[in-house]
Amino acid sequence: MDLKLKGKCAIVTGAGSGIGKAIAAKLLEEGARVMMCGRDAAKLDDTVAALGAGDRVRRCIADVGNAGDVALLVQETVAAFGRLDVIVSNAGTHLRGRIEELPAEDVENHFRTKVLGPWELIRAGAPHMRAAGGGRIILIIGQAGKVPGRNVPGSAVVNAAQLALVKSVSDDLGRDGILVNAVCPSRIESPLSTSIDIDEERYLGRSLEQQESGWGDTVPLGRWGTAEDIANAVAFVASERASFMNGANIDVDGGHQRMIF
Amino acid sequence: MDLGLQGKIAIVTGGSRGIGLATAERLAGEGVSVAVCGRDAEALDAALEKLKRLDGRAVSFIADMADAGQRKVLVDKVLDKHGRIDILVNNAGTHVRASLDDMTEDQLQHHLDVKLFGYLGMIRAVLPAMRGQGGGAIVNVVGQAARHPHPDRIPSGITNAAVMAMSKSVADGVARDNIRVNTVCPQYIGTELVESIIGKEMVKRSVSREIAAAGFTRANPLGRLGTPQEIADAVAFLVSERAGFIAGSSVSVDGGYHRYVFG
Repeated sequence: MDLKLKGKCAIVTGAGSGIGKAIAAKLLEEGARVMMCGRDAAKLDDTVAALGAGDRVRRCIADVGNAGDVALLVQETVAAFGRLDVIVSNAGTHLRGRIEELPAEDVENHFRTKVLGPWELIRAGAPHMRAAGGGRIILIIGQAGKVPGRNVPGSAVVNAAQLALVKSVSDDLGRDGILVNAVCPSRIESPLSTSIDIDEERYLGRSLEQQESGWGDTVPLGRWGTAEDIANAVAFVASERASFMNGANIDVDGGHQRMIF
Repeated sequence: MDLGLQGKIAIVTGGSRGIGLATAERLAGEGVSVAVCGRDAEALDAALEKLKRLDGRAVSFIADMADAGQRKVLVDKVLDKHGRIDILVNNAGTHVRASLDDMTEDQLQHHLDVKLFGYLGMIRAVLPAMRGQGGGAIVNVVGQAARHPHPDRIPSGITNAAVMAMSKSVADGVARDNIRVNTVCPQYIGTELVESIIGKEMVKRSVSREIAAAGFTRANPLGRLGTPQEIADAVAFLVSERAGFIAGSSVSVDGGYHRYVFG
């Protein structure tokens, strides 16, 4: 299937590792040009070098929680590539802990990165997309937004806000041909899931091996997914093959979430 | 993106026109051998002629998906010809508009027979083959009347919601057999079906085609009807190897029509 992404220009935030890195690699594989964004210069440089995509890939050190950084990120992208077609908002992590363990300040920082980050990114990027006649904005939103729980209230409220942002903005920007959608991962092997397991090992006394052997039990498909599974869905939604998809969200979670709709 | 579909075998129900035909064409274009079924022999012949240009092994069968016997015959014939079934796209069925006052129970029963029992029956019919060969992919096409019940679309609202619940339950049940079941949820696609609904609105409201059509094209932020090909693209992605971790999911392809945050 020709995704017709050749020559398109994309920003991927949180691109240094895990899902963001896989998304950048997939977009490059499809012929797009990619501005990789992250906070850790050394990590980002290593990733860019490993991708080996020559001048089709650039990097920008930016904290998406900082509006000034976001404005510069968009400016640098347009200066480097001359246009902006796709934004993939992936920066941010998973906030674990019960409510009594989580100070509001932590949730506020999380909200700044995962909701206000894409908020500013959309504000800065939409005019360029509008000028080009359209574009794609994709938020990566973990399933705590749809599957809340006692140990994830921080991520649950922030991710639900992200989903509301996608739907609201899709109503607005869809009129200009800028399609806004979400890809919702859960149960994906990544540095993040490994760090959660180390956390569980420390606090629950369950070895990594014990935890990994039980991973599949919580997923109907019986296994965990990979960052590439997410990257494939993102590439499809970013493409011309998804030109009537707007305000939607695709679960890439092996069947984990329980809602019918 | 290589979807990894080359050489796969697919059944597309309701494949003689509209979304079904577009899906069959898209799959055939990716190297899939497609069997389409429908009830209208003339439309089916025309569809097969188009498909043959993309895939010499394409076949068509006249079959009514409301009939359990005909479903079994269809699956047996495809297995006889190809020896396997990798993909099932359940698409046969229509959209029934009727209110509580003017709906008949027969009308609702027929709608349930075609779409709920038709989809479920086809899944049950292909499962032994898919299990035996180590996996498969199924997509149910379910209009957004499930998410958006409406007093003048009671048969479709009830039926589609039931199909959504069936899809998620079945998806859970067969996922461990490496069979992925997902739904694609279109709304207001430029097909003969929507054209006929626009025609009825013109008569009912005594308005011009332009005014009657505006109710559909303005129903989403994009301000247009979707095309059957846009649904076909989503189906092709979901049945492909590139969607190997997507199971039990429902994907709206409606231009932003539906009003849910979580859907």
